[in-house]
Amino acid sequence: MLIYTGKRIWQTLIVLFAVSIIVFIMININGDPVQTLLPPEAEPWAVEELRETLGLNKPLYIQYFNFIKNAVKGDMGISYYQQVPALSLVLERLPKTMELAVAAILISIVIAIPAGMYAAIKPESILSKLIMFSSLAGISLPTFLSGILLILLFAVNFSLLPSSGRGEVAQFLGIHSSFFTLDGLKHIIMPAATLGLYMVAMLIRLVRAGMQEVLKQDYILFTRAKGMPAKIVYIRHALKNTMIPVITVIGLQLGRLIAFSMITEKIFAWPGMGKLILDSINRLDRPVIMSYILVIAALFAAINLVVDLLYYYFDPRIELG
Amino acid sequence: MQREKILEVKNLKTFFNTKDGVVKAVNGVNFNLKKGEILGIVGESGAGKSVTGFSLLRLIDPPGEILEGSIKFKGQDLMKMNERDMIKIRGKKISMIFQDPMASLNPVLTIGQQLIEVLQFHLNYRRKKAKNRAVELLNMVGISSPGKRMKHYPNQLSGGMRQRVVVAIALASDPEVIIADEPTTALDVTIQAQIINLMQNLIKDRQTSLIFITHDLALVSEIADRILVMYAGDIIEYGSKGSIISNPAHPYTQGLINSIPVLDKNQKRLKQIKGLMPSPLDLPAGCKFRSRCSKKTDYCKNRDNEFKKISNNHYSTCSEACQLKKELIAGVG
Repeated sequence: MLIYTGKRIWQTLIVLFAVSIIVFIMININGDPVQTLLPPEAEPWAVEELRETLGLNKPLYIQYFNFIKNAVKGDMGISYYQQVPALSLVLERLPKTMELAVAAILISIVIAIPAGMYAAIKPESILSKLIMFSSLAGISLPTFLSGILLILLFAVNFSLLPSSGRGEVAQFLGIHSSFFTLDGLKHIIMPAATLGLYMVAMLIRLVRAGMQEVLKQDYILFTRAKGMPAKIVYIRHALKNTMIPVITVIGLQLGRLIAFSMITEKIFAWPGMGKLILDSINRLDRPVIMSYILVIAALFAAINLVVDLLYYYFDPRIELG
Repeated sequence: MQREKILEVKNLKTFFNTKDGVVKAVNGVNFNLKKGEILGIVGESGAGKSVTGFSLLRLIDPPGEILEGSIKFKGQDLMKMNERDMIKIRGKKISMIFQDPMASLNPVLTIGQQLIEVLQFHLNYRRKKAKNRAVELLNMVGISSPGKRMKHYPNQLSGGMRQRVVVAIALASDPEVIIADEPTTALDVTIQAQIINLMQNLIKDRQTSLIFITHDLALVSEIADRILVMYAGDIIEYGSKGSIISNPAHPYTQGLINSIPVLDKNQKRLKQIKGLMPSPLDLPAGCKFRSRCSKKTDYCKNRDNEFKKISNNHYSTCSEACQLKKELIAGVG
């Protein structure tokens, strides 16, 4: 297991290297940051000077080489705009986005697994049909619409929940999070629900399909023939077999939620990475974009590693290697 | 001496409602099982043997349905029980062994977990006691180093080993009846013999009754006390093993016996029963074997399914049977 993990980390480094090359080239074709940094009427010598200080006058491969040389030391450059290290700018925002994504995942797991199981076990019941119908609606509804609808309903009409910001934060076990205060929880529910809606809908369908397949297997019938009560048949025997594809999707989605939480963050004014990257792309703030993408890529790789290790827990037939 | 009747099945009808129509898989079956008896149910694929087995435990899922009939287990009618009482019968009083040991164990739980849960649930054993008993059971079914095997997953065991585990699970709560649905079909012949011996020895000690469902008449003739022959959802002949094998009355049973290959005879071709079983969606009136029968008469078209006595403890639905019973089948003893 240790060797396997080590091998995977090595693979991750190669992936990060490849990603960095691609992103570096891409942001270079994307426009000249100097033009957005300086007013249009700036003197040519001022432009030249700025190019020199930012190191943009050198050939592309030298620029890349310099970037990598600093990056292995953990220095991703200084944000052109905010004049602080780009990496720390991203890392400071990361926990806030993670918090949102984790809340979204938790909400979707808590709702989707029981709902999907129910829909698989009692496919003919009216409740199952309702579950399946609403999951279809959930998949089809775009995030910006569902977010705004939630705000309209719970913040404007009923005045139950705050519509923006992160709320009060408390520290527990060294982690600052809004999970630990009531105000924080009130603030996170709506954005997390918005972010997780698609995921709930998709997981319901996935759990239902997987469960229906598992319930047809001989070992389920044999467990029933053993006289085991429904609880043991469905949870211990069937659910564990259903979890493999579900875990994969949850893992992939966690990465996706972190990487693409921008719309939700924008709607609810959540101070996460999504807002930062949108602003940075507009300003062509290259160091921040680079840091953001590499952090996200590393995060994806880490999540996938955890997913693979979880497979091993859920299905002993899978061998790590 | 008349032994106690442990299971009495009367007019059991299990139908499946499919898109194409109603499949009459088990169409009014009657039989008894005595304590300590081994009852063989024989028939070709689709005759309704397995559905009969699953119906006894009421494990028929939609679109299937047990339409009518009574299944009396020691005087209690299982058909009138609610699901809560039924799970105390399943696996505890009547347990089942499936055909394919590769598929009947859960791949993601250890052998130990799957065995222990039966002991914990049915006998209310504490974890420690259940664990010890589970090791004993594995040892009893001939699994070497059972303590280590407890932690293994089914994929780490061979087919024969897995079927031993299934037998151990079936015996765990000391049931009164075991229904074995083709328990050795998926195994090779040497393993088959081992499993059969194992089952015979274990149930003999405990006076457990066994319903042995198979398509293999040769196999059933080795172990069963009595044999039921099923065809297209009906029992067409039943009786003591000796009588059925040496003196089969129904042309179908005769065909089955004739189709067993015999080693010491210079046989070029196996004798087969020509034709196929009628579609269960559209069963003919009268004798259902009629279309394949070489001895059919006009009378077969409308005859009822009443059993005619052939000899003591031997009954058949075929009316020709009385005249045919003298016919001896050569080569099978």
